[in-house]
Amino acid sequence: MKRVLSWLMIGLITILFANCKKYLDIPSDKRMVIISNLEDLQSLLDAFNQINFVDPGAGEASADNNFLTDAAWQSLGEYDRSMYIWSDRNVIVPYSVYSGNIWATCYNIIYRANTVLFHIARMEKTIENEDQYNNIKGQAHFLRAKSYLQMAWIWCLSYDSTSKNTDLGLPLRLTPDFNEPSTRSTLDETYSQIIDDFIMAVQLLPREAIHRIRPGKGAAFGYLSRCYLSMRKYTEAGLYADSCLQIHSELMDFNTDIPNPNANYPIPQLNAEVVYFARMATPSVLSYGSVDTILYNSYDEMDLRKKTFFRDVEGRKVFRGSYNQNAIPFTGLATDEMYLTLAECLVRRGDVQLALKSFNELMITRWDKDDFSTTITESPSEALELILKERRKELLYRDLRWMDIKRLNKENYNIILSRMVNDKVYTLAPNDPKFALAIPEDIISRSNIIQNPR
Amino acid sequence: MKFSTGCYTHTRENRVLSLLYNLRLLNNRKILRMMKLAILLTILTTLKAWSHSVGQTFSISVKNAPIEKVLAQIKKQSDYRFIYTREELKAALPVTLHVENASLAAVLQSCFNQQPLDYSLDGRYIIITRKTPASDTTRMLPRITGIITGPDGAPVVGATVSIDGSSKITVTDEQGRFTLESIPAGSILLVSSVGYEAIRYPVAFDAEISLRLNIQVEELSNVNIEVNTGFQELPKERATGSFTHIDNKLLNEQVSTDVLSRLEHIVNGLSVNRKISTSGQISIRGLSTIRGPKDPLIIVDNFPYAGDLNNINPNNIESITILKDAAAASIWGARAGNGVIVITTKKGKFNQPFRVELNSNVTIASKPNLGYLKQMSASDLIDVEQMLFEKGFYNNRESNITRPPLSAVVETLIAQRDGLIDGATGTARINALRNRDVRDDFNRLIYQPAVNQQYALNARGGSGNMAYAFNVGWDKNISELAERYQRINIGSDNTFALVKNLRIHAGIQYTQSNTTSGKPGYYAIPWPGYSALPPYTSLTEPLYHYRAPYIDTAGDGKLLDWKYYPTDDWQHSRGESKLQDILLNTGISYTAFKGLTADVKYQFEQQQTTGRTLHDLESFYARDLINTYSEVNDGVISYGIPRGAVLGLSHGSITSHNLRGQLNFNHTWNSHSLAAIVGAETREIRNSSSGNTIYGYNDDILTYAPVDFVNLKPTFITGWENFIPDGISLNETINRFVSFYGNTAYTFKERYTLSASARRDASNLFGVSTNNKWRPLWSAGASWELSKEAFYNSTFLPYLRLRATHGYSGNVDPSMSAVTAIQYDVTSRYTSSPISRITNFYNPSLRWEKIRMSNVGIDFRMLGNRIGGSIEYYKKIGTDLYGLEPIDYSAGLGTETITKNIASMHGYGWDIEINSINTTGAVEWLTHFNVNLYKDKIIKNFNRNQQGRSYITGSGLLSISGLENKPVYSMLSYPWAGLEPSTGNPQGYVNKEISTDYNELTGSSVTVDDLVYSGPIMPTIYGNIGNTVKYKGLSLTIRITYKAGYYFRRSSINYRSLYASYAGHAEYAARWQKPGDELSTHVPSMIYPVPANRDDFYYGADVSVEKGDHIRIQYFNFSYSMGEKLLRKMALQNFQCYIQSNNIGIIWRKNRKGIDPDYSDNSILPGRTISVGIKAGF
Repeated sequence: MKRVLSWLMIGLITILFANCKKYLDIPSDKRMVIISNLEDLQSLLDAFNQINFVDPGAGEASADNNFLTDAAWQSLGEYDRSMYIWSDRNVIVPYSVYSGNIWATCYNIIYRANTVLFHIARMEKTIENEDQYNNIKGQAHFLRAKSYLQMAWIWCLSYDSTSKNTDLGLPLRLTPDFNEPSTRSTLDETYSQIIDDFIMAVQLLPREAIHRIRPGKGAAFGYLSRCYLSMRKYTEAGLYADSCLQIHSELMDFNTDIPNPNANYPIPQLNAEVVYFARMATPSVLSYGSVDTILYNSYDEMDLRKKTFFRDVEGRKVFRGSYNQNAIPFTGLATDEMYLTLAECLVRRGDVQLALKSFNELMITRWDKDDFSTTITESPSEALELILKERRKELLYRDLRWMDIKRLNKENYNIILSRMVNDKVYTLAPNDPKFALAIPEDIISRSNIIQNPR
Repeated sequence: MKFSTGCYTHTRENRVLSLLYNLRLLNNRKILRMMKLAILLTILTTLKAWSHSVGQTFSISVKNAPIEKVLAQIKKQSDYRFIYTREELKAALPVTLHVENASLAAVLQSCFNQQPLDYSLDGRYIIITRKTPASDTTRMLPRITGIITGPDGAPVVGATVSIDGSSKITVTDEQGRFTLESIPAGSILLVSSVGYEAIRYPVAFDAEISLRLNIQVEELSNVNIEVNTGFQELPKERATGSFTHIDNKLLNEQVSTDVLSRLEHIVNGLSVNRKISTSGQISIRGLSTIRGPKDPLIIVDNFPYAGDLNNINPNNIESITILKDAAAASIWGARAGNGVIVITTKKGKFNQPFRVELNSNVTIASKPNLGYLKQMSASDLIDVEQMLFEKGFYNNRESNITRPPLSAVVETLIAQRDGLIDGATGTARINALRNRDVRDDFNRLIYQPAVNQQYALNARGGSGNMAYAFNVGWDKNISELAERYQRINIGSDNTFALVKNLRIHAGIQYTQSNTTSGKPGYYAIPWPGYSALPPYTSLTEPLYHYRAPYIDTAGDGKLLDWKYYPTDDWQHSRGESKLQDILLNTGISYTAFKGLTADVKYQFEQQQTTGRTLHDLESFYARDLINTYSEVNDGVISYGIPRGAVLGLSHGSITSHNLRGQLNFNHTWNSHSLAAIVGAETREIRNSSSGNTIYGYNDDILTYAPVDFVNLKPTFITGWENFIPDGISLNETINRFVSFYGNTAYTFKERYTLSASARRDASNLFGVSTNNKWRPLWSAGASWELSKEAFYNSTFLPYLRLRATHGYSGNVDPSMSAVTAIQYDVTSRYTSSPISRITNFYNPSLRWEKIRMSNVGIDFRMLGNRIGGSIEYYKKIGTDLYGLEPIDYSAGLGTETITKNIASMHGYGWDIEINSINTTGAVEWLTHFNVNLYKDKIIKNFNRNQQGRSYITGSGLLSISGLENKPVYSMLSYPWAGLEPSTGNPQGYVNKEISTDYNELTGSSVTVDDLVYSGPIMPTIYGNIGNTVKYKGLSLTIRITYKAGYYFRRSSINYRSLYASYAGHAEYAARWQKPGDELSTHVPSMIYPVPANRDDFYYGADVSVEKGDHIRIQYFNFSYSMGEKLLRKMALQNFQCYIQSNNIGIIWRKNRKGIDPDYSDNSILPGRTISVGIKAGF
């Protein structure tokens, strides 16, 4: 008995030792996995709540499409009030105090993209997985570029080839290593990175994604066009807008494609024009704001957008024309923008008739069909003025206006922003350094990166 | 005995039946098989045990055998025990006996007939005494007789009476009498009996000795205390480590449904903090970690308890041992850094008479005192609302398309403005609200006294080859919010000595509990968008979750009623959760040779919880959801969610397996003694849960309706499209541990002890590299019983022992990992592909926390053992502690901090425990006194930003201040410069200049160096005093607890929250209103709009810091125990009735605001409880 028991003990301990490694090798949480295959990477990019639904709205909130009543402004939080009056500081909420720090949400997308790029470089590309491999890699490049582009519009000055090497760009983080210190690149380096990433995306992405919540080649072309437009490189911008339209050219006809024009949100989500679906994390300045009165009055009565886009609230006009079919502004890419970009770029190149063809193709879908007449002109300046006017009327609340103001002021359009709160007038002069918003103060104190000059 | 026999059989049947019934609910075949085995063993044991008490017969056949043989036969065939001395049996003659199925009386009769011996029967004891006096010797007392009685004068039966220095020994008979013969004059008579203090009596020439024994004061019986580490039991005298032993009696001074809540007020070195965690963070000797898990490890009968600790019935607890230092805790390895609480349940013992204990009590808790809450007055709030209304504050909400609700006052003001009602009507309506107080409604309609009932029955006993115990318990609680809780415990525990040297142990414990949700409390009535109900709310009127005028007209009457009824709704949204826990313990133990025992223990536990929340069609939840997804077109309604109840189902299970193999060696030779264990164990805990929601449910006929979760559905109010929530969740985690350990203690001459222990642990924690998985932990200790030395002859301290230990324990957070890991969530509705997020970041240096702990202590007894206790000093240094390192969030991790082993801390303190007997005699007064001193500080922490704001601690749940060289939880504040005389704005200092620039004050220009440090937030002095006064059968215990040397932050008015969410504060009434007020108040003026940081600055200023020192009467217990005589008459072993009251209240506090510093300011304090109950033993 004694011996039997001793052997039993020895046996037990041996078994324990022998199986230890295996016994302890199983994961502690079944839902938790170490990234090992392409599906894991795709799942990181499919998290639409963190990828598609958090586009920053600080630019739109700082632009001139929207205004707040005194009462509404007073009822907002301090950071929102600062954002509205272009304050020198405290425009973005600190990360630790409230949620909704857009610097963090943009960099989170970049981190996901970097994680995907880091891991995919260590995975084997085979004949079987090539399409999926390229697709995922392309999505990561696309998302990284898109985030940097949106951030550059908010926190950098408008691109200017004369000062591109001295103007401050963004901290460019290209690996998932969180230990790397942040330093601000030049504006040229930032835009070069964005273009490189979009070009990679164009090469890698499939012509059309399985769903428009994922980018396809068309989306990459479209964003590339946006990027060049904001750099005022109109040839490239026009070229890529055209490339996008080669893939997606469909337009909604407001005469027929709006099922119920009296609905709160009449424009269907994921309609024919949407190339890439994204929406804004709406800042309070926008959610409690009303549409600029002059802008509203500039819509013709025969312009179907006037009643489709706006709703009356106690005498003020509120925007309801989001392609998201709710109060949250659509900030993805749609074909209407591409038609307008193409038209603008063509006219700037001097090709007025081709530009007007593209322009009219869009306008006919926006106008009461019984009243529509084709716009005809020979004058490039008149055509450009017309196109830019319609651009503002078509693309309001798309987070494009801030960028448009910045680039147009570089071309002496002299758009002066002005807001009145409690009888006090705040103005933002063209090319004011405050067109690059204050970087959140807490990130400055943590990383010691340079704050935008005030 | 007759009574208990009958009762026994009855209980057994019920017990087996209900076990079998509940078994059906478990479908796991493996469990079933194991349970069957356990039940079989249980039934066998109990049946065997009972057979004795029912008409016992004997068959014995011996010829000329020594009497011992007959006695052994009787012993073997029954569980009767004999009490005799070998001396007496020497005189016995050989016996010849032939009986078949004879009764005990007959056997004894014929056996002792011819003997010079007599016998008497007492319960299960047969006492053998000498029949006639033998001849005497000169200088000898021929014979002494005497009577031994208890303090009440009743005879003590079975007391051992012996002569010091001789082998003469006897026991008292049924009358408490004894006889001893041939005693040298002047001998010392020793009398002892279990439960009584032993006495020494010098024998003079008195022929009749009458001695009275005192009931033993258990607190002082240190000698007999065995500390249970969960791996072994050691006599406390030989343990070098730091233990606190809580016996059954001390534990039962309080009445509660759970075990742990009783520890707070009685255990030396244990404290509970309700500001780190609202449910109460238990800590033993303060903190051992900064960011890691802070809970002590809880062991129930040898293994960590995986289920809900509320499953354990306190009536089934024999004792609790708290392991406080490294020597004690290192045996538990990487989870013992926060100390270990070892709970031991009641067990049967071999050769123990059968006993039944019954405990029953009722507890009534008063309604909570809502008047304590610092609620703003209705009238003040109305004034604020009127001001805000005039400023247009509500315009946004009024026009908001999501129709957020507006208060009755604001709706009235709108109606008045829009001309729907005239000014006079509006004013009258509003003024009618001014004198209301919603707390009156809560008191009247919601809160009720809580009633808890508890019944418990324990039975145990044992024969020569088996020991058994079983328990049944039933608890039924109805809370102050009508929440119902019911718990049934059934269990048995058996040990058999199958063959020589081999013991088998089998235990089963089954718990079932049901919880049914009750009413919503003061803070729990939902009102979307707001954190509190306006104080003028009437609970008898419906509450609007969307704007009243909108709801009243929406949907042309086609929708379901869209109002919320505060007092009724709970009856229509009932949550029910059922828990079943089964705990199986088996073990085999083999003694290979004297001193060496090999054990294999296995424990299996499975806890199943099923939750069911039924929102019937009358519930707001169901109506709201159905309305939200309804569409009304041309007067025709269509439903996205079918009309019917909404049923939420959830299921969770925890399964744990523990296997342990251990060799024990215990040997004493000459003046050496050695106790050693070595073993290995594995542990697996599997946790899984799932949930889903069923729509259109009909509870009567169990039908439900399908719902489209895939496509976007328009919502009624805004038209926004949304997905209908499917409520599906799935989780599964598995934690595995493998450990090897050893522990040894060597004692020389019963006074010098050396001890050492070591352990290695490994786990499957995600990605922790192998080196860190195997982390060795060790400890060493020594003790010296000074008072046993020849040179020691202090009469002042007759007992003195010194001890010291040093060692390491660990702490591990299973949720932390060292690799980049992603976690899958739901499936994307757009692409039908899974979605994941990154939950862990590549963090290669992550390892377990290490706590180095040293302990030195003195155990002493003085003044004739009337004062005894221990004084201990400990020091702990935690290194490799988890700390949150703030990172540049441009890294994009989605968090601004990451966990690293970067912090270290230092803690030290004194634990003093003193027991004293202040008076003896008829009135006995005993004191149990605990004093704990504790201090800690952070030695090293991350180099985080120096902005003062990050170090300000709040009044709610605490976060760690993290400042080096200051306590882990420190009270730091902005320096306060009073209110600005002209505006009432709070003022602080920027660069030593008075300032009202709140962005500066709370921004980077005020660094941590500019802050005021008040002191620690954790008490540095705490403890309790229990005083017991006994007179005859009456006993009164009052326990006082105290805490001192710490600070807390008061709650205060926050204007931003007041405007946005009605979170008002009573101190609003004392705000600055006109110049001059700054002299008498520190409450800032009301301004609108208010800069966010103005509130934050005021709240963080040192003006709102208070001292926490306080003393409270925690509980009293008044009991009456029936005297021996009466017990005898009623055939009872013991009988006690008691009245107990808990949460009695603070008797002194340092702060003058009447705040209870133990609870977060403005939280609802638990009501005072009163319990009455009885305890009886048969």
